[in-house]
Amino acid sequence: MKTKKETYVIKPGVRLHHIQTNQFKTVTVGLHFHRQLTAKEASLNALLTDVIRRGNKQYTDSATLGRYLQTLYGAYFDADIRRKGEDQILSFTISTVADRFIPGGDTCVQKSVALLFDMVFQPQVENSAFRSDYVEQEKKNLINDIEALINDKRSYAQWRLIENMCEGESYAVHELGDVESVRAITPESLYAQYHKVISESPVDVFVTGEADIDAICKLVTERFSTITPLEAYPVTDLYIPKEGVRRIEESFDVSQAKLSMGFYTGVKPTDARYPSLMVYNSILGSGAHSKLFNNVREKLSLAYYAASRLYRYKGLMVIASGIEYANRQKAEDEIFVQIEDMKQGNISAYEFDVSVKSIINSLRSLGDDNGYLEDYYLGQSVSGTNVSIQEQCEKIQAVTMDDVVKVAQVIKPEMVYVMKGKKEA
Amino acid sequence: MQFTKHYNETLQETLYTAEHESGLTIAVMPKEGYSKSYAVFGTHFGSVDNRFIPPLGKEQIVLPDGIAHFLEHKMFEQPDGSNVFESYARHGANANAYTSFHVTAYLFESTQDIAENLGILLDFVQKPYFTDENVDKEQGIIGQEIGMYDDDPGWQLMMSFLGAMFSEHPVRVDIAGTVESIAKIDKETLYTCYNTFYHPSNMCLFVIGDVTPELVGDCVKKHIVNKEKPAEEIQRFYGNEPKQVLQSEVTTKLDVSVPMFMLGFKDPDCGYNGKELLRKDLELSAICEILFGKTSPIYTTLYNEGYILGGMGAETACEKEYGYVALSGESQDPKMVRTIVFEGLKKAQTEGIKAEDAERVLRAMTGRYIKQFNNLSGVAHEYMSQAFNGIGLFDYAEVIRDITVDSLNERLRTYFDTERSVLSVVEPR
Repeated sequence: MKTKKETYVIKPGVRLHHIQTNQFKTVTVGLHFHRQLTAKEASLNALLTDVIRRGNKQYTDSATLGRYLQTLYGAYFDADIRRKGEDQILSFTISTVADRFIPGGDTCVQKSVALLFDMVFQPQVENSAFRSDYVEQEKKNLINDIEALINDKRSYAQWRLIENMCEGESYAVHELGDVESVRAITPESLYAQYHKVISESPVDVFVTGEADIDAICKLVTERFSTITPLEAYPVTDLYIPKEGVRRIEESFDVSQAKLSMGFYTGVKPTDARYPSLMVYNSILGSGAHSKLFNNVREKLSLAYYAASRLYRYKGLMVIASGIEYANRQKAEDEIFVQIEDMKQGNISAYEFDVSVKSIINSLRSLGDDNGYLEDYYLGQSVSGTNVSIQEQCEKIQAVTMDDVVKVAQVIKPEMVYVMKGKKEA
Repeated sequence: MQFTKHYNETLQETLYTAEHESGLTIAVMPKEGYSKSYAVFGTHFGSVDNRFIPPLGKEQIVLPDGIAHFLEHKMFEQPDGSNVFESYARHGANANAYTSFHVTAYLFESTQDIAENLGILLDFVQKPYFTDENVDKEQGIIGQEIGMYDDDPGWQLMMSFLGAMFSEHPVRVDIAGTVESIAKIDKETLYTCYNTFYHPSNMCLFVIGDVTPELVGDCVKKHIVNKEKPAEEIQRFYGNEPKQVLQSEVTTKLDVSVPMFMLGFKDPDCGYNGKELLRKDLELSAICEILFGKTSPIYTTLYNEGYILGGMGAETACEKEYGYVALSGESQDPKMVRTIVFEGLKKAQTEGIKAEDAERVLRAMTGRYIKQFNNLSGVAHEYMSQAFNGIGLFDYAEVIRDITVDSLNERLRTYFDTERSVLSVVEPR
């Protein structure tokens, strides 16, 4: 069976999407609330997902909830924050074994969907506040999570680059918020935020797999009958290029240095040049066929990894590499050589061809993973593109070498960030 | 080559298996509706296998730590100078390889040209090409990789844990070795390993996704060169591991924000594989979920009192030669976590697990087992890690049905001994 997606607009700001496929063992249902990412709200929203995860009116703690999930054949409920540009999404999902696998004709899907909605819409509330013990525990955990971001140096070096590049913009706000704002949250302020999120936020509901969509449609309609959410999704402002190239070096307790470089692309997913930019990025640094991999890593052994990645909603590209500190200049120079090569159109037919194949392979592979599939279409909703995987593949196939060289001309370096060891002078 | 068809009712999946004349084991699982195929070609040769006698050999050979991983890197070097990644890329495939304690595996995934990509996989793994020059160059690259692991707190936590638990078994040694040990690797030692462990009879090929057994069978016939089975088995030596742990506590200092802990129990009952080993693994997983999972009193106390931050995970390792169960997480007070775990464990051993808890957790495990078959790479890795232990993909459903509350209680009482525990902690510097 071919995967098919249907969208039902329940009311302005509430959309139900059904990704129909029978290839999975599971049915996954996701409830996604969109918020404009701001320093004021980020921590509140992050904490909100953590507190809701702890239980609701009926299943008041993790143990009771966990036992119920076990009886649903190990259904998996989660609440977390996703980020798409400056859209901070509160995501609540439940994933359960499809009914045809349940022995004895038992059904788990409808029970799971009901549980998902009850978790979100029937939290434990006393006197217009969340349970204070849960709020306090989850504040501690969230602070710990924020402080632990530093543990993964590979991604932290990229985050520090973004934070510095976009200083003063809401893009530089972390989706988990900041420690000080978390500390200031009270059970009352969190409940006030909950109320705001539920009543104002545009919502996407995704159902992936074999399910009785009419029943779910009815449930969604009922739940949102008294709510009038905003219709428009949060907007991400394009990055505005600055004068020259800024440089930052920081010391951390690492033995391997990290070199991260930020570039302006100015191309958003809605831009007609976006497919060309995807091909550009693939040729430059996305995978074992790329220029960065073959030159910086393989040919010159200047890095253990060197890869480029698009921050598509913001119109940015980041090149990340792990290097010996002594090699930082050589590695940087070589990366600029590759960027220049792209501008000059020094791209072989092989590089072009395999990059297109690689993107198409990745896109088609998304369809084999229910989580990625949902997240792909959620991203399409956020960017307002609503392009199916098949259509996206066709757009990529239509890209020409000329298109890639054209888009290469707009790439501008903005910042070079080096994370070095403490022993390096 | 004749494929045998196995259908599993619980999963509604079919697996085809065959043995090639060379002794190569082949397994194929077609997945309807999937666009992707995922193939793994693996050898029963991991980081722990550096003391051995090859078939028809007389003397034990001891090779430097990290050689299996080094060899994995070097397999991508081809005699004609061609680039394996390039060949794959031309056919739209993503390729990779990994070395674990027990297996070295080469894999690709692609949504097109499956026969061509399978041909590339089988061909390059059968063509070793080691020179003094290319071995030299690799020492630099792997040195960088080792540096990266040195900065990885999670990995350091586990390696310290294993180093404290085991005194003899080579699982205590880092998979990649050390900068010093890999400096001793040369092309001769690599060829010795290759010739011993990369014979098809010591290997498995698993393919899952948009594929048929006929296609895989044809590729194997066409591409497997060495068709003769070796006269003897490889003999492997892992030392004489005692039942007790080497050290009950170990602390490492790294750049972390909160201390990380790994608290584990050493398996006192080893030496068997197959379904019996799987049964132990599943019983331990069930016990861990009942005793230490989110629904347990121990977890609830630890979480609500703030002794663990963000949660606590449990893992089981069940190999023929060794095993352990480990709990890990972040805590400001790992010793207090240990005290609470020990107290809860003692209570559970005295009172026993309740039948209703066992029934519910086993049901959840069955559901998760079914779900696992959504994920091609997950199934492929599961196959590879279990195949050399004599465990099949479909054994799970059968073995889990045999588990009872009594067998869980028996396992709980015999396996977990606080005298055989290790607490590994990574502390902020």
